[in-house]
Amino acid sequence: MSDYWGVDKQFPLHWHQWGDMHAVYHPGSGQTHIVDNLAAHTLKLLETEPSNTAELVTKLSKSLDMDKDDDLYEYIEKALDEFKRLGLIAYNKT
Amino acid sequence: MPIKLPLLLKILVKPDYLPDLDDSEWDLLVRQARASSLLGQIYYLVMEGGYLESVPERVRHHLQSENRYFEAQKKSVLWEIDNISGTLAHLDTPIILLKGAAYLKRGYSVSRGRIFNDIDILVRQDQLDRIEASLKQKGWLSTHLNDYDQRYYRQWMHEIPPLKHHTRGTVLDIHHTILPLTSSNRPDIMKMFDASEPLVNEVNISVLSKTDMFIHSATHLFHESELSHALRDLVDLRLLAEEQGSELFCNELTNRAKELDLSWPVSYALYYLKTILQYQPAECNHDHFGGKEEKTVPLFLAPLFTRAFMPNHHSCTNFFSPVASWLLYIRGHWLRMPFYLLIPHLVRKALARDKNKKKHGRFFLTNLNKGKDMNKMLGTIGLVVGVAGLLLSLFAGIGRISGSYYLMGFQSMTLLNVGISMMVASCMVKLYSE
Amino acid sequence: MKLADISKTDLSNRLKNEGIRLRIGPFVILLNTRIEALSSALKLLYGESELAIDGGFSDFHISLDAPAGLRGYYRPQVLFYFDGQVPFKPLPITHAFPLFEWGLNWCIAKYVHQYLILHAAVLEKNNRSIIMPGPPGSGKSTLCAALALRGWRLLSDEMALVGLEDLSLTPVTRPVALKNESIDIIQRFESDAVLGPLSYDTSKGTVAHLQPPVDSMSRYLEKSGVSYIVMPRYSPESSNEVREMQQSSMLKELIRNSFNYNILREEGFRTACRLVDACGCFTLDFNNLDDALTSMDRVIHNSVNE
Repeated sequence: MSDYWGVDKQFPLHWHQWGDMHAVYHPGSGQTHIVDNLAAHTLKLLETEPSNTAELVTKLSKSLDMDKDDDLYEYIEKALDEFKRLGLIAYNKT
Repeated sequence: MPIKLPLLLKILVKPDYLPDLDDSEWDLLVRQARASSLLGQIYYLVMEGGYLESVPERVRHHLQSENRYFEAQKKSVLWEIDNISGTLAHLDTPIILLKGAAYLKRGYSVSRGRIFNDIDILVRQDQLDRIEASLKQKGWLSTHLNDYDQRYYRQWMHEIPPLKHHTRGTVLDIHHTILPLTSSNRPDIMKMFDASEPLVNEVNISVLSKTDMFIHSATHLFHESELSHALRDLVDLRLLAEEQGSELFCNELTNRAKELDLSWPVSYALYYLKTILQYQPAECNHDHFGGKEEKTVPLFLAPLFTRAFMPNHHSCTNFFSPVASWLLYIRGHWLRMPFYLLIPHLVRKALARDKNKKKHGRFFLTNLNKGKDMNKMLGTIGLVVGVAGLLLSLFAGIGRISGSYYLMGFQSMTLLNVGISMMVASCMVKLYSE
Repeated sequence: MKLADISKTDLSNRLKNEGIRLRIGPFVILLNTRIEALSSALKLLYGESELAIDGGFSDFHISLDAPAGLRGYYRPQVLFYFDGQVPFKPLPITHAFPLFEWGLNWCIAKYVHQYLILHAAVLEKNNRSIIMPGPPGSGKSTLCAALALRGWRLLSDEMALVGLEDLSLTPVTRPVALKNESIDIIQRFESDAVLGPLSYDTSKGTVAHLQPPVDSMSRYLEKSGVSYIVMPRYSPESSNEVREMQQSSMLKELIRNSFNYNILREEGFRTACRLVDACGCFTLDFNNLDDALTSMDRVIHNSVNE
């Protein structure tokens, strides 16, 4: 999996947080999504710099002190698919 | 020209008047501008002149609301273009944005405050099938599902039936040339392709050259049959011409228009820019079109267009407006699709198909022992009903086009339907009596 | 001058000719009609509205009229004109007043974007305001009418106009639209309630409008701060209960019930989030008006959990 995904700089995300829940607004689609901590963290990592799945697993496990196991890998795959579907992230052209 | 210039035109010609308007004048201006889809333009004229402070608070809210609406549309269109571009990237064929979408992507002043409904793209005809297939895989659905419409578009039009995204609702018009295939003008579209300019930071998105944008816009305006946005379109042309900013523009425009065989719409455009908006691109004079300006627009058409360029608001219409818009409606259709060719052709095709059936299929008619008188009477009835139906349809059609929702107390569309039904019924009777 | 101050004949003459400039909340509406029944309904339900002086800028030019000709005799209809344009299909002439109300909603939703506009009732008591968003069937209008009849100040029944900068609530005090059984419920709840004419068989069933309280109408320019957002949910089976609502869920409800969130984009998102931050967020389940009123009092007295 070497596909790099990132948040399109043309449409920067807007965030608001209530405890464990995060609201994120995507200026392109005009849609607002409610996401949990882990998803918010993943998305914010992609906002900072485009990554592939393996890199995301490493970064997430480090910053959230989580086990780098299959569950996390699977979670990220799923989250990426969902983000792609919602248009929150795009295939990184560079 | 009307003796009294509508307020909206005065302001478009000379925005310096804006700070002097009183509340009642603003009332009229906002209504005329809104009805002509030019409220966004007024907002920008206010901002450009630095007049916002002088605008009454109530009015300011309307101008700013219009601008918010525009800004929202802008973002969603830019996003949609990104999606379309991504969906079609693997095809490696240029996608040329037209009109509103192109102006936005280029950041031209003509895009400011301009509200539009559909995204228009121009693609090479030999790539149409691949493009359509790719889009359909990504959730774009055809809006015209019946076979007749599909055939109609593909056979006669310059575009395929519009696609609509099934969740986002955006409508995408895919053109393969700029005028209907049946129209008398058939510019060589490849010349426009060759001159198109790729956009920076885009893989497959291009726009027409500035000159071609002007020619395209003018061509559309003067081929149009529904001229409810005519004034907005004319303002577009002014802003496009201003965007050129080159003293050579007029030479370029003239030569290019000749090359594309579209000289007349361009000279019409220059004529009305001058007469309606009192605008003349730098270095432009009518020597460019080899004649005096009066000669560019035929005498009988000139007053019709002058009417059509008045604000689309009841404060600016007179008895002549519905007549003018009806005549222009007919003219537009005539230019785009010559009925004298199309209708006989369609009828011939339909009959040719039926001929084979008739040999076997008319038993129920021949079995009926119809007397000659019966036939004659049926024929007469058919004729009378048909003519009445035709008259009723024309009456209803003219009424509807000239803006009357109601005629003789009935919805004009109801009358139109009745008229059409009568014509159909008369055809059946006439067939039967043959 | 108020609308009620004009005599009946004067009013219908003016409505037929130069029109009246009616102040409804922050808006001035230039209104024309030849329909007598509409003229009297306006006098009854908007009687306390101020009239603006003639001339000047009107936010919306509205007229309602029957199409001329034979159709005027056979099942007569009414059309809503927005500055000469007809945005809707004609309705039976007996629906003229509801058509005016719906048409005005349409004007505001389409052309007013200096506020975040929510489909919600707004009421205030003791300087504490409550926004009540609610889809049709939630009992929002019935509860709103009951609160207005019990001394709450009515800011709006249909639309909450939330300031983008300061989150202030701008009143658009208008008659409360009651549908079907709500009409009886409110008449039984308060026998002094003044209701306008009944319109049968509208797209929303039978509709009647409640005359807004005089005090609320006279304070049409007085903005208010916002303290609570309460989602009412009427159900005959439910018990009366106020529960705190998760903020992220409330955000979703506000977006769902907004008219122009998609137009305000980032500004809308920011405003909605700040609104949720600034308010106590509750759901209110109820099966009868009296208990619901008690619950609303508990909300504004911060004693939900007691």
